[in-house]
Amino acid sequence: MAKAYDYLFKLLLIGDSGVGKTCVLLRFCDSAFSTTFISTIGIDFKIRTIELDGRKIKLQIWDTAGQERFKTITTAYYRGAMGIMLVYDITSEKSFDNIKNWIRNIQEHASAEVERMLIGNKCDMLDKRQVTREKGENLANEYGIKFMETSAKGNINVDEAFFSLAKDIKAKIDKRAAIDPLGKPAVIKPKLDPHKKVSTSFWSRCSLF
Amino acid sequence: MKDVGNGSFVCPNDRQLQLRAKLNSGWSFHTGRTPTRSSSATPTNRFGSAAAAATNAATNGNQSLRDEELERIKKVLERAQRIELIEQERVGKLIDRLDNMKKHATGNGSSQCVLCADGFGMLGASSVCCVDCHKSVCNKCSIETVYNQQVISLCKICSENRELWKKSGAWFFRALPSRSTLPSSVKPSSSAISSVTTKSDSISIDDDSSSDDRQSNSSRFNRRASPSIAISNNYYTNRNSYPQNYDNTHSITEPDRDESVDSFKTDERSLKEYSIDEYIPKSQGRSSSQPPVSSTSSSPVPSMISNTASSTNIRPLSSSILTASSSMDDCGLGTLDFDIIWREAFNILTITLIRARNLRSADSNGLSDPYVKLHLVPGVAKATKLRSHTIRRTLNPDFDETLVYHGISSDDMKTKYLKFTVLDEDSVGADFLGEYRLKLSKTRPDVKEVYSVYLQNKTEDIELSLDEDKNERGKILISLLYSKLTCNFHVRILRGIQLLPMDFGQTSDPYCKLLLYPSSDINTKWNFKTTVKKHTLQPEFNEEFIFPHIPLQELISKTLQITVYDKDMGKKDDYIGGFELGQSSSGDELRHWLLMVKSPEQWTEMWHKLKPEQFNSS
Repeated sequence: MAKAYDYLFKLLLIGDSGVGKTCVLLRFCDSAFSTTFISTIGIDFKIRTIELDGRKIKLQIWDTAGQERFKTITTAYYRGAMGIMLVYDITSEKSFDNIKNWIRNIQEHASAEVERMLIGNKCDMLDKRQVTREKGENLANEYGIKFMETSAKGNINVDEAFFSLAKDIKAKIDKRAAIDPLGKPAVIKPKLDPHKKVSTSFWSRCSLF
Repeated sequence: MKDVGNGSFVCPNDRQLQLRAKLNSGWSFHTGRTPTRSSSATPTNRFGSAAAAATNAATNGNQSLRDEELERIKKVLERAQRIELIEQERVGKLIDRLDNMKKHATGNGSSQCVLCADGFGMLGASSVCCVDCHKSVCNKCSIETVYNQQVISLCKICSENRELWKKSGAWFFRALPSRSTLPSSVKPSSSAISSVTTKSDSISIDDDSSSDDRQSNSSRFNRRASPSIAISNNYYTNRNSYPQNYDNTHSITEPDRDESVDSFKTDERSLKEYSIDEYIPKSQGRSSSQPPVSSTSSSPVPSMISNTASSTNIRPLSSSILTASSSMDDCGLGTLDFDIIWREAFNILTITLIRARNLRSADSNGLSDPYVKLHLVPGVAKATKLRSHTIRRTLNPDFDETLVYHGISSDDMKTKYLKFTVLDEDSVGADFLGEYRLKLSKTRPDVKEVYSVYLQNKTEDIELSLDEDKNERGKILISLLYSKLTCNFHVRILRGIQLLPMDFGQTSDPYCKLLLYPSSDINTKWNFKTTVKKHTLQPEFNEEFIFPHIPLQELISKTLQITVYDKDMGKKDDYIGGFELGQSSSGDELRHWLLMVKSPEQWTEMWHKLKPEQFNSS
């Protein structure tokens, strides 16, 4: 608690039940792993302070329950999240298919600025793999977000994933800093990217462009 | 209360009717209302019921959460609340800092520098126009930074403003936190807890509006508070309707953006030097030697690192600044590492000074002879002074020294700050190198916490004026024992702390007087004195006195008076303070007295505050 920090980033882990969100978090924050499956109740969070470019960044990572019955609680936390990690299990086709639903959830509930990232967990279990890496990459490309395959058990890419997300958020901040904080909009022209079904819904709502 | 509407009418049962008949209150009672149910729906467990209601409503009554689950979630929310409080305090500091800066900006921004009010012109400083506020600033008060591959100039206020915008999370929440909740005078933990419970109510209630619970209730981020905020809000939503596109622009426009941003950031650290008069010329000197592209002035604390980083446009290695903490407080005075533990059971506060780094040089040889002084503030400054050894000729001293405060009560822990002052020892006097104030309420009992902090500039000791009000005269630790076997009453004067300095040179020569009255027997000696401890404000007496042959019955009705004096040569001894134990006393004194009476044959130890009033020595 006493640690000083420069930034506080609030991250969120979402994905189907049992894909290993809690384990990823446990690995990242406590360098621990547990094989016993305990379903997360509602929400939980852990803290880890990392250092990026000489700045201390406190990551408050919210772990959500994948179960449907907690949905109302967990969605309440979307809005405050600056970064969201979508986690699926590479040994479960279903969890991968559901990513689309989770993305829809994000669009409904999260801030439009949120940084997202796709995580294929349990990549140590190659013999049981159902979702190929390419599939994951393609999906991530489709949404224009980053993708990584991780393993909480094997400690593969877990740190990298969080650092990468934090870095993206920080890059965003630094970009933001140039905008007049008092709210006078600087001129920024977003480039059009036609092959986005996601964005179309936003386009229609947009009043400026 | 909900039940009333549903249970329109329930036929009263016979027993109720019988009972009702005995009362003379008539028959028009709401017999259908069962008191147990309505009360369970109301406040007893506000969070639980509210959360349950919310989840019930939201999940259309599919599955409600069990009590233990709610309990779990509630705990998580309480934890989150604590994090939030820390964050609010941090942001509050940032805002205060900026406000302070604005307050000190004296110039008019056209013919004078907006910050330091230096006039421009032939002889004066050359002016630069700030990109954000379009006011003129002098070279000293402006910061050049690279943005969008352009060198832009910002005045220090706007630069700090940008920094605040980034660090507070306002970039994300689109508005600065409202000032009302800023805990500049931070609430004690108890009130924090209470606010947790009230807050968590609304967290679960408003979840169908899917608002961010962490900001909703406290209205930390008052998004629609003012038109200007609303505009920015609108603006942000518009442009951020294209998250993917946005990312693309990001990568397309400038490939080397990351580097430039980094140097921009490191530059901004130098803002922190703003109020340090001595430091500014130094950083200016450095800045002028630097190419304009990279940075004007460089980061003070890890100076070598950021220098190289900005001049070569390489990111600073993350590992190299590991010890540095919140750069928001970075005043360029260096860092101090220490750990601290308060043992609640013993009332002992132990501070281990580990090291300091990047201290300012105060001597002509470019080095310093640093040492650390500790004070508890507010309070009598001299009375709580502890001092480390001096480490000669270094800017990076390793102290490795443990200093101990005795008799630190939980009350002290709640209200006081521990002030670290790093000084440079000179043959005459000392130079100030930096200070840091640690709020003791932040530390948890019996947990060793390691801190790494930036040293701050000198702040005025406003507490000094408060001292008189608080009448802090120090504390004495005494131990009492009554022996039923011998009928002797033993008093041990163990130690004193934080005694009020009475002599010139801010010290005292304290001794204690003991008096047990009313005395029944003229022959028995009823008063004692301890030895005089020279030149100290934390004397260790460790002396035992025995009032012999007093039956317990008699002792109960007596009063033990302990007074502390400062021994002076050639004049009347100064009275420092005293207290009385007995049936007519109150608070800790009474408690201690009763404890002693209740537990014979046992030493009972307690700290007592010295009170300023003079007692009659009858």
